[in-house]
Order: sequence, then structure tokens, then C-alpha cells
Amino acid sequence: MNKIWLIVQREFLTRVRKKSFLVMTMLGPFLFAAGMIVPIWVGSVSEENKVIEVLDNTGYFQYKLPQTPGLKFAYFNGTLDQRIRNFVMTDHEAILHIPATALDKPEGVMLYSESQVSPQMRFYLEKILSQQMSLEIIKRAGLDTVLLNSLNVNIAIQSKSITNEWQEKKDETASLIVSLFSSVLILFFIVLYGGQVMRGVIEEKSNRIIEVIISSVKPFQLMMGKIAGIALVSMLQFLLWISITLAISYFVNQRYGAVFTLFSDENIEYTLKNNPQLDMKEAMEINELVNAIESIDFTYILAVFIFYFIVGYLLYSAIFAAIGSVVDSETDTQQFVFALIAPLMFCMVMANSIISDPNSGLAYWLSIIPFTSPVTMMLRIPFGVPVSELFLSMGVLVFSFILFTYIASKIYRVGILMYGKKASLGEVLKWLKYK
Amino acid sequence: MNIITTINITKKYASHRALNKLNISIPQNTIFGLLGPNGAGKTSFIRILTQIIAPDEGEVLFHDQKLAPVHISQTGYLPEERGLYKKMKIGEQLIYLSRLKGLSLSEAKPKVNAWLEKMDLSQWADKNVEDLSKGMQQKVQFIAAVIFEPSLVILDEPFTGFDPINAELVKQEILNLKKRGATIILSTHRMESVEELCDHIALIHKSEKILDGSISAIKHEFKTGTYIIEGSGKIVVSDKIKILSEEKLNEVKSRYRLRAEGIKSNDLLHMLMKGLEIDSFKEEEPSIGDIFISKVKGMSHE
Repeated sequence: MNKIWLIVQREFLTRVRKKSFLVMTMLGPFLFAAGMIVPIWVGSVSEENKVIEVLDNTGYFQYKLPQTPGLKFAYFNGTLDQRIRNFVMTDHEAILHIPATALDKPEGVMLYSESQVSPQMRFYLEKILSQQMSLEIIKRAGLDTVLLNSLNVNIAIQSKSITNEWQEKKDETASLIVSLFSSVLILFFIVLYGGQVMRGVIEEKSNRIIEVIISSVKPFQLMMGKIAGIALVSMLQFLLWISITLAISYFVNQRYGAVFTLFSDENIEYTLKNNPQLDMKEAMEINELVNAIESIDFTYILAVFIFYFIVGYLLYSAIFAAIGSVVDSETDTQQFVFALIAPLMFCMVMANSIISDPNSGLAYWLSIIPFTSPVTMMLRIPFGVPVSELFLSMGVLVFSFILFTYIASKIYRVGILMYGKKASLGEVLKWLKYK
Repeated sequence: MNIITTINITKKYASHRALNKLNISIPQNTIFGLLGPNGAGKTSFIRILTQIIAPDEGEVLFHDQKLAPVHISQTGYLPEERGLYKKMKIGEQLIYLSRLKGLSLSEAKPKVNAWLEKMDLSQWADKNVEDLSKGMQQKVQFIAAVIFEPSLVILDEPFTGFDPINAELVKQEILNLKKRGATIILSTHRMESVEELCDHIALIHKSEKILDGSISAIKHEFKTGTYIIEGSGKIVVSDKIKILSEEKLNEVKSRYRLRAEGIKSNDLLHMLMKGLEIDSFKEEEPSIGDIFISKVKGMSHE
């Protein structure tokens, strides 16, 4: 036991001290963050400093349309033909033409542009125009502004799960994000760190240090020490990623205002009242997402994630170790590795249909089979999996881990001493019987 | 007292039998030469002693106990296929390897320093293995095999890759180990090292032991009755004495190489004295290399 601990320490320390570990640790969270921020940023950049010409024949909207930092309005008079002729000489985004009849009949509002305007912009324009128009229509009908304000009633129905007996009804977007994110993470960790186990075995074999080591410890101890040491590295990396990501999001939150708290249950009403440019529907959508994220039981999912992460990694890395012991160099491993990670890849290919029907036969069997269960279970778990099924899947995984570690260690202890010859599958099977 | 006794050990692999009913006894505090052509089964035998593999049949005794994991910390091993972690500092690496053999960190540190000093490697302690020359790496590997003061040290081709100076250094350390009370098993194809160092040998060929015993006994057994005689005069040739070669040293003196089978050396001396003024008389001993070749070839022709 003491010797395994020594091996664990060595495997852990040599990897953590490497520069590549530091680079990966720092890079990971930024990649995560970039994955989330870049699309938003790209979207906002394209909206920047755009000018829309307004040709308002009603005379009513003049200087009334609310501008945003990225969107300005330039008001013109004259005919549409004139404006269109002049338009090519400007770098304006579009011409918004409001015909004189617009207030009576809300049709005929046109947007002329050289290139396609983004849907967001069209929605925004539609929104502010209808707001302004309804205000005007109401005013013309003779209602006073006090009554007008009292008309502004918000009913926000919010959903919260009551107990587990009730099928939780919530916004699926959040579940979808958690589901995909955690399954990709599991896949990533298994392939990355399982691969490290394999490379570690090949290194010891090609360095020829293996025989010295196993004259001091049992091959099984060496294999398990290596697997455990690398598991610790992966967990450290995971923890660092989580902490750094949290730190980044905290920083972003501090710097760019508490955007999300605006949409929490406590603040939603306040937000709606004080941010008149926010569409109520839009705000409610964000509120729903925030609620859904809050209603997901993260502790439960994290516990399940850690279980499948660890046991799945253990199962795969034992087989990775056996592969590493059979070959002489990394180039010989490709077809084995491909065969090994094919089930994981299959789950990702099937992710779409698993998510769309998390309780289908396919999803059920993929989450019982040990080679696919870590990824499949993480895909399914945010949508709710019966406890009995979860335990069955976990039991099968633990059992297979023990079985495959036993088989792998038998192959490993013979394989590591075979230099320079390629073993056929038949030979490898015979190794299982060696004393 | 034997440190190792093997009783009928047999090891089979899928396609061949590596060891067949091998009985070898290794006396304590000797340097024991393990000889045999390539593929004879030496490595399998060594791996059984180091408990890397287990025999299919038979038993191995360490002193008088059955070989068990407790003996691992008493067995040092320098394999033929050997190496080190390339990206690890040699000081750290030696500490790691000696701790795997059961030394504590506080025991290991001073020993590592002392050995690095002894092997002229002190200034390299903080260098990665890949920065060292091959000879230096070999010395580090040798240190790893003996640093924890094992009572049994198994060295498989310990001299390959060394220049004559370092080979001598290692040879002296092997002799020191013996002085300290350790038993050394030396597996090598370098017959001059066997002649120089070994007290006992065993010759393995085609999975079987074909010869073992002390060097002196084996040499005695393989005497061919060949003598080298220098002197002046005439040799009386009989049916028992055959001159194999004659070489004139000067006008009167010659060196003869002759074979006298079935005659004791004193009797031979008497017979020669009748016609020859003898300057020197020496019985030619067979070299271990000659014995090796004649035994192995003899087996192959059978």
C-alpha cells in the first residue's frame, strides 16, 4: 500500500510540474468562457454604430424612437426615391419608411437596405414602433395618462418544482446545456487522461525502466498507482478549471454589472419597470432560464458526474494501460484506441436523439452498457432518471471496472516485459492464463 | 549455506518451454556466474528470482524460506533491458527507486549522496537523466540496484556500455559487495569477467542446466591433460605422451605443448626429466569460454 502511494505521488508530481499542465489549466477556463462570450460579442460588434435613416411621413415619430449605443436614427424629409438614390453614398444601414397611413393602419412600414438586416434589429424596430404607435393610438382615443399607467399590469407566472413526485416542468434549455456540457467533459477527461495512462505505460516500457520497477513492486501496484496518480491530476485540473471559471465569471459580473440578477424572481418586476426598453416577453424568457438553472439540483448532478467521471475513467484507463503494455510505441496504438473510444463517440453522435427522448430504449441501454454509460448518463441525468435505473447503471459500471481491471492487469504484467514483438490477439488471450 | 535453492522449477510460455526442471543452488556470499547462450532461459530464471514472474512448477527457496514478497527488499536487480525515467532528476530518481525497495526518505537521502559521490556523479544530481551520457546512466542504474544494501544482487550484463575505467570501478564495487557479505549473481557473456570475478557458475542451455559448480572444480573436471613445458633436451614420446606443438626459443631451448592423458603430473614430470632439462612446467587450464563452447556445442550435436 505504501508503495502504491509512492507511485501515486511520483505520477502526480511529475505531471503537475509539467508546463503543459499549467497551460491546460489556464487555457481551459478561458476556452469555456470564450465559447460563451465570443458569440455574444460577435453579435454585439455587428450592431455597433449603425445608423438607420428614418423617413417619417406621419410626422409623429420624429425624434421619438429610442436609440441604443449601437443604433442611431437619422431623420429625413423628402421622398423615398430621393433618399434611396442618396442612400448608396452613405454608410447607413437601412432606410425605415413609415408611410402617412401607418397610424391608421399599421401596414406598409418598410425597411430598405443593401444587405440583409439582422433579425435582432428588425425585432427591435418592430418593438419600438409598436410601442410608440400604441401610445399614440391610446392617446388619440382620449384616455388619460394615469389610466394609461394603470393599464400596465404585469402578470409573471413563475415555475418552481414542488417535489420529485411531480414531473418537474421547467425550461429545457438549462438542462440541455448542463447535459451536453457534462457529457462532453466526461468524454474529454476519459480520452485525455486515459490516453495519459497509456502513454505513461509506453514510456516506462520504451525507457526500459519497467523491469527495475516491477522487481520492487507488483505490476498491479504499478498500474493502479499510475491510474490513481493520473486520476488525481485530472481532478486537480477539474477543480482548478471550476475555480478559475468561477473567478472569471465573478470578475465579469463585478465589472459588467449584475446582468443576471436583474432577471431573478426578486428583481424581475423592478427590472421591467425601470428598463422600459426591455421587452417584457424577452425579460420573462431570461427570467425563466435563470429560474430553470436555479431549479436544477446541481449537487445531485455534480455527485453523479463525479461518480461516472471517476469510475468511467478507472474502467477506461485500465484498458488504456493494457493497450500501452502490448505495444512498443505510440504509433502502434491507433487502431486499439479508436476501437476503445468508439463507444464514447457513438454516444456523442447519438446525443441528439438521447436528449430528445431521454427515456427511449436506446438511451436506456446506452446508459446501462458500461462503455457508454458515463457519457449517456450525463446526457440524461439533467432530464431526470429513475433512481433504480441509475443504481443499476452504477452497479454495472463498478462491476465492469473490477472485471476489466483484473483482465487488464493480467495482460499488462505480461505485456510490459515483451519487447520488440507485436502480440496477436490470440497470444494476448493466452497471457491471461500465465502465472 | 545456500541463499537460493531452486527445486525442479519449470516455466512454460505459449510457444516454448523457458525452463525445464531446473535445480540450481547458489551459495551465500559468492559471486555466482549464470552462463548460457542467448535464449537459454537465463532471463526467465532471473525474473523468477526477482518475483517478476512465478514458475509454473517447482519451488524457490530464499535461505530456507519459500520465496515470498518479503524477499523483494533483499534483492537488487540490474536488468539487461534497463533504463531510467528520462525527464526525472537522477537524485530524485534514486531516492524514488530506493524508497520503492523499502528505504525511508531519511534513510535514502544520505545513501544517494554517498553513492553519487562514490561513482563520481555528485555534480549531476540535479540533472535530468536525458542530459547524462550513457555511461553515467549505467552507473546510476547500478547504484539503483545496490543502494538499499540487498543480500542478493542480480546483475545482468553489468559491464556493457562502460569504458575500461568505469568497468573497473563497477568491478571493484561488485567485489566490495561480496566483502560486505552480499551474494552476487552475474549473468554475462564476457568470459573474462567470469574468470576474474566468479566463484561458482551454472551453465544453462536449452532450458536445462548442463553444468554447475565452483570454478576450480569445473576447471579440474575439464582438464585435458595438456601441459606447457620449456626446457632443453629431448622428450621421450610414448603412446601416452603426444607433442601437440613445438616452438624453438633459441638454439637449445624449446617450448612444448603436449598432452598426457591418464598420467598424474608428478609422474609426467618424472618421465620428462629423463631426457629434458626443465625450465618451466605448467598444466594448461581450460578457460571457462572453452568449457562453455565445448559443452554447448557438444549438446547441440547430440
